[in-house]
Amino acid sequence: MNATFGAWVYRLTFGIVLVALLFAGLVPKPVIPEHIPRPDLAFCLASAWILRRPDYTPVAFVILYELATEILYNQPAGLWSALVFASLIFLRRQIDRVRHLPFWFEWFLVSVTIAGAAMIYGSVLVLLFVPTSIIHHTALHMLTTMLAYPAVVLATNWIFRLRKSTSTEAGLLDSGH
Amino acid sequence: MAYRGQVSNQLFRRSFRRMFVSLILFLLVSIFLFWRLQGERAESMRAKIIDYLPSAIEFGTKPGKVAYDFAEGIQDIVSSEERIKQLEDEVKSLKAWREYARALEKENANLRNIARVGSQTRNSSFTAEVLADTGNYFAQTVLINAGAENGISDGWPATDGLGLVGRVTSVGDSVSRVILLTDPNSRVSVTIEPSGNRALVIGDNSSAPLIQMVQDGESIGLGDRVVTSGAGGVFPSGLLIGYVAQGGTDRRLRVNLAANYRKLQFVTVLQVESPETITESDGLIVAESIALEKTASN
Repeated sequence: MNATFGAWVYRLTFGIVLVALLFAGLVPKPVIPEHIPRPDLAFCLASAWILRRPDYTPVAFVILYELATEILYNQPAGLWSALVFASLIFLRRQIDRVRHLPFWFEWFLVSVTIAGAAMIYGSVLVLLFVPTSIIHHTALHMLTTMLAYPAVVLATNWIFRLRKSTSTEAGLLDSGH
Repeated sequence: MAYRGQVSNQLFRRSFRRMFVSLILFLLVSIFLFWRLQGERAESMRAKIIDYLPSAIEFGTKPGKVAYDFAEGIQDIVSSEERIKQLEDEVKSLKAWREYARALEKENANLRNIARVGSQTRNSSFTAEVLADTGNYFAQTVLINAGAENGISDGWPATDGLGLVGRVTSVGDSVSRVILLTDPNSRVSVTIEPSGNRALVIGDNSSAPLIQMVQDGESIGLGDRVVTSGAGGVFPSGLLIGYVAQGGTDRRLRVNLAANYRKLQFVTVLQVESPETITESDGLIVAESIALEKTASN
């Protein structure tokens, strides 16, 4: 009873953080173009959480967040969301591998996943002749997302106090909730 | 028995999860394919979805706005002395301009009297608030809280009073999107004054868009005015965009935008009369000859 209550608190917190991220990006500010693309913090956060406590990480929220940004920011709809979803499912399968390894390995694994997703994203856009300038910037976006990952993990450990689970709970997930 | 039950239960869960995962993946990929194949329909759906959100966006961005204004206020206090000096200088030069404008106004009125020119009818306009900044590294757009209900149409120019900001690209009932001049998809045909050169102003995700396709680069000086040319019928002619500058490391010609992109709170969408379309065929020789040909071939 207490444990499930705790889990729901974590899931709710995760959702609230995503909503806050979404709105923070929309706040009217100087509309001067950025020189460095913003990292996909939601992707980082979801990766960090799913490698620690997959049972606390509602993947559906992440997908809704990614879809919402794609729709709001006038970007190709659905593709990046699909790739983020696939990446998270992939990462969830690596939990047992990562659990007892140092952070460097985890960072490497997440970076490789992000790189893979970004590469597929770029190549699909090129193959389907999507008339955007996105492709040129995808590489830089990928880099900032990779670099943001350790910071997000720190926040995950210190603010949300989320640690890697040692129990078998890790295997019992629910992507639907 | 109990053990076997557990195993089959686990197996069932796993296969169920796998099905669920592939279903969602399929759904997302089909959204993308729909977007790619049915571009226009997808975009109108996007506009419709966003149309449901203005109050949610306003509510959700409120804390961020308050925090942002607070930080800006502190910055203002810190730099106030410098600002005051700057403003005093500005007031001085503006006073000189005011005198000049008064003289011109008089002269203009006199000339109009002589020529009996009626003052031009002004196009109507609608001022809207910037609802959300949807600019990121890839695209430079903002959402404004006005749409078809306020009579706004696709393609109309948006200004902030100081200069051109961009063009309305998708219109919902109460929300529309303005694509800024800095967006890489933004292309505006311009005239550079006083030389009268035609050129294109092309956004490239930097704060000063590029000037390209200049007819006669020699005659352009830094600080020349860049205004819309009206060619192509997208914008009316003569809207101020900015001033010629030579920017960055590549020394290419760019525009210092006149609009205040640092503080874009309100934009005015200008009504543009749609270009005349020919609906009736009478009086057109071409149409008649085609009609004759048709009857002849029949």
